[in-house]
Amino acid sequence: MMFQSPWFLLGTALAAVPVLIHLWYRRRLRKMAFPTLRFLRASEAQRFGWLRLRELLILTARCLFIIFLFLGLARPVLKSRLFAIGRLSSVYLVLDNSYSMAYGDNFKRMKKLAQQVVARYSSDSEFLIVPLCSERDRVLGTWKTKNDALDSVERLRLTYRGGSIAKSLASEPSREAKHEIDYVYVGDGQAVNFRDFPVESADNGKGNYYWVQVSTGTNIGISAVALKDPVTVAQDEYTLQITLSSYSSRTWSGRIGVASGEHYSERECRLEPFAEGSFDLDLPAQSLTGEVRIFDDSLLVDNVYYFCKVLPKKIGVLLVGDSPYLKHVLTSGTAISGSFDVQAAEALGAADLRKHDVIVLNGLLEISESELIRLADFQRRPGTGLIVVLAGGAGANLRESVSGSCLLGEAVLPKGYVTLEWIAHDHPVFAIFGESGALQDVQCYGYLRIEAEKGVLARLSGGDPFLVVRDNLAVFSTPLTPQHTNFVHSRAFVPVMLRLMVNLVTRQQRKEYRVGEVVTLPGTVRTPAGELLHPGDQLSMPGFHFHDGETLAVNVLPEEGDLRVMGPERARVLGVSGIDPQRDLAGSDLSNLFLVLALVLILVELALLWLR
Amino acid sequence: MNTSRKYLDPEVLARISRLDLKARLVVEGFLSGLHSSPFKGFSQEFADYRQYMPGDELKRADWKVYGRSDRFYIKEYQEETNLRAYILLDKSGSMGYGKKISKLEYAKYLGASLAYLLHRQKDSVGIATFDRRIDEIIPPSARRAKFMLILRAIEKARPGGETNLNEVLFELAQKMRRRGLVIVLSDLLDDPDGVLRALRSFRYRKHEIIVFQILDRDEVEFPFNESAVFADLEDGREMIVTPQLVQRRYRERFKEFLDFCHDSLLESRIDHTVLYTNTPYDKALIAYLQKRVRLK
Repeated sequence: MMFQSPWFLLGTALAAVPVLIHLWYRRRLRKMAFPTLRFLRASEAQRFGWLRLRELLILTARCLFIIFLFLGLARPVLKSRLFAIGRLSSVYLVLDNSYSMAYGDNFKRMKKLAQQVVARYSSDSEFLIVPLCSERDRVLGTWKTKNDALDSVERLRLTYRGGSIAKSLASEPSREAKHEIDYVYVGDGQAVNFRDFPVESADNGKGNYYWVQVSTGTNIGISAVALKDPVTVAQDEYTLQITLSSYSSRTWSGRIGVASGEHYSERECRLEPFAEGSFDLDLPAQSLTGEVRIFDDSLLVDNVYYFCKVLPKKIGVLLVGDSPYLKHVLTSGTAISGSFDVQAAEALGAADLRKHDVIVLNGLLEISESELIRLADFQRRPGTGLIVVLAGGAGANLRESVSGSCLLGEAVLPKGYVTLEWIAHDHPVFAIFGESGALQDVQCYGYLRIEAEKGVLARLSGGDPFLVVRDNLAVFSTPLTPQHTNFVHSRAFVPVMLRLMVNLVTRQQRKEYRVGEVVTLPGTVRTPAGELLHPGDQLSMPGFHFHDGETLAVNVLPEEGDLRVMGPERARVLGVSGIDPQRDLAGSDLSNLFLVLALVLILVELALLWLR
Repeated sequence: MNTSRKYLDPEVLARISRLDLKARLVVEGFLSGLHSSPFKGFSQEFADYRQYMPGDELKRADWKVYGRSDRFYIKEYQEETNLRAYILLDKSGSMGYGKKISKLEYAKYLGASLAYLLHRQKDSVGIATFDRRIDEIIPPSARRAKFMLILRAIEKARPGGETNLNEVLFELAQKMRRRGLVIVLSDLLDDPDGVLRALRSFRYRKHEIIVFQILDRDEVEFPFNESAVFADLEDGREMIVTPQLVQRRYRERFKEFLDFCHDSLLESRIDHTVLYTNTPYDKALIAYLQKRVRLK
C-alpha cells in the first residue's frame, strides 16, 4: 500500500488524544471510600462489565475514527501488478468521447476511470490528453501536469462522432516526451475504434499500450432509412425501408415508429442475434421529413434517425440520336415509365435544354462547340443528368464533354465478344440486382476504350469500363444497339436505365448527412443548437439542420451503434494490455474505504452512547 | 431543647472530647427525659414516692399512703440486678465510613453510653472490640475500675481491616460461657447468612441479644451525583461508578439486605435496631431498656 498524501499520516498520532483525555478524566475523578461496594458489585456486576466494555469500545472507536480519517486523507492506494502506482511516464491518454460512450453512464464512468489512471502516475509524470473524437484530424497537444490533466479529463465532452485510436495517436505533442511513453486508451474498446490501429505497435518498443476497459452492453441500431423504391414517382404515399442492425447476442423484439408532421405509424419488429433486418413503413407522399424511432433499446440517440427524403418526380428526358430501345424503355406503358416525359431529336440543335432533366446522347460521334457549351450549362443546373452512349468513335468536342469523368480511347472490336464481368452492387443503380446474376449474360461486341480513375460502376472482362458515372454524368462505352451489345435485350436493361436516370437527377439533391461529414454546401448551415456551420466545418450533432430554407437531416454514424468490442485475442495481436478496472484500478484507491469506515465508527460511537 | 438532652444528638456529642463525659451526658440527658419512668420500679430497693399518673399499674400503688392521705402514690425502687452485659464493638474498616461522624464513632459513643448506663445500674458490663479478629476483650464486671478499662478500650478503637463477623462472633460466643445480654454494635456488612448463624450461636448459649446495626444514610440512599472512583473501605478495590446509572438498583439491593437482616434476626428472636449516624442516642437506649424490661 502506498500513500499519495503521506504527510496526513502524521495526523494519526492524534489518535492518542482520546486516550490521554480518557486517562486525564480518570485521574480527575474524585476518589471516594465507600463501605458497601459489594452491593454495587452484586447488583451491577454484569452491567459494570458491559459499561466497562462500552467505555473501552467508545475509546477504541474514537481512536480508530481519527486513524481512519487521516488514513483516508493520506489517500492510500494498493499496488497493482499490471498498472503500477507511482509510475513515471509520459502518458498519451486517449479518452473515448465517441458516441458509443453514450451507452448508460459509460461516459461518466470513463472520466472517473481516466482520473483514477492519472492519479496512479507520479506527480512528475506528464500527460497528453487526446480525445478520441476531435474537430480536427490531427491535434497539436501540450503536455500537462497531473492536476491539469485531471481538469482536462473533467472538462471532456461527449461527441456524436465515431473515433479512430490510430488517428488520435497521430497527435503531435508540443515537444518530445521526457519519459518512457505510456499509451492509455480509456473507453469501451469498440472494435471499429481499432480498425486502423497498426499491428506492429506490439513490437515497436516505443511505448506501452493499455486499454482501460469500460464495460458496455448490447445495442440495436438504425443502420439506414431509405426509399424502398427510389425510382417510382409516388402518387399518394411512399414506403420507407428501415434497416435495423442487431449487435446483441439475444433475439430482440420491439417496435419502430415513424413520425412526420401529423403522421405517425409504428410496427412490431424482431431481430435475430447479430442480424440485420429491413422493415417497411408507409408515409403520405407529402411527409418527407421526420423521425424514425426504435423503442425498447438502451443506446438512446442511435434509436432515432432523422430523415429528409427527396421523392422521384416526373423526369423530362431528351433523347438525342437514334435510340429506339431507350425510347421503348421510357415510353412503354409501365408504371415506371409513366414517370418520364420523353422527347426525341436527331440532334441537340437549338432545342431548349431547360425543359429537360436528362439528356441522352446516343451514338453521336461529335457535337458542335456551341452544343458543348450548352451541355456544360445544362450540367451545372441542379437536378439534371447527362447520359452519353458512345459510338465507335468520338470527336474532340464529345471527348471534351466527358473529360470530367473519363478519357476516351480507341475503338475496340474483340474477337467474338466480351462479357460484363463486374458491377458495383452497392450502387443504387445496381443495388436491386444483388447476386441474382441478371447482368451476367451481357455481352459486348464492340466498344470504345475509356479510362476512368473513379466512378466505374461496371467493367467488361479485360477490365475496360462499361459504365462510368461521375457527378451527374454517365458514360456507356458501348453503343446501346443490338449490333454492339445484347444488353438492350437483357431484362436488366430497363431497370438499369431508369434507375440511372433517376440517380443522376436526384444525386445532387442530397439532404441526409452523417455526423463528422464536412459541410460542402455554400453559405451557412444552422445546427439544431442554433450554431452556424460554414463550408469546411464538420457536422457535429444529429438532428435537423437548416440551409438556405432547406431542411437537412444529420444522423450519427451507424457503426457507432455497434458496441461489439475488441476481443482479447485482437488486443494481444495489437500489443494492447487490457486493464480491468475492477481488478487493476477499482478499490486500489482506498481513501473512500477509510473515510466510510471513519463514518461507520461515528455511528458506532453514537449507538454505544445511546445504549446505556 | 433541654440542656442535658442535647447530648443525645451525635453531632453535638462529637464536640466533646472525653468519652466518659460523653457517656455520662448521654445517659443523664436520656434519663431526664423519661417522664413516665417505665424503667423504674423493678428493684427491691426503695427509691422514692411519686404521684400516681394515668397509666401506672395499680398494683404499684402504696395503699398505706392512700389510707393516710387519701391520695394515690406510687412507690419507686432502684433497679438492682445481676445482669451481665457484653458489648461487642465492630471496628472493621467499613465502620470508619461517615461524613460528620463515622459509624465507629457513633458506635463508640453508644457503647460508652450503654456501658455507663449499665454501670450506673450496678450491672456487670464487659466489652469486646474486633475487626477480622478479636482485638480486645474485657470480661463483665460491675467494678468502676473495670468500667474505666472499658471506656479506655472503646476510646482506643480505630477502624481496622476487613470484617470477619462470622468467625469473630462464633469465637466470642464460645468465650462467653455465662449467659447474659449481648449488645452488638456493628454495621453487619458481611455475609448475612454467616452473621445470622453466628448470632444464633449466642442464642444457643442462652444469651439475650440486641443488635444495633449502625449505618450511614449514604449507604442506604446512595445520594451521589457525580461519577467517581469508589474504593472499598475494606478490600481497597476500586470502581468507576456513574451514580445515576446504578442508584435505583443499589437502593433496592440494600433494602433487600436490611429487610433480610431484620426479618432473620427477629425470626431468631434477636432484637434488631437500625441506627443511622444522625439518629439520637435515646432511640438506642430506649431499645436497650425495653429489652432489659423483657429480661425481668
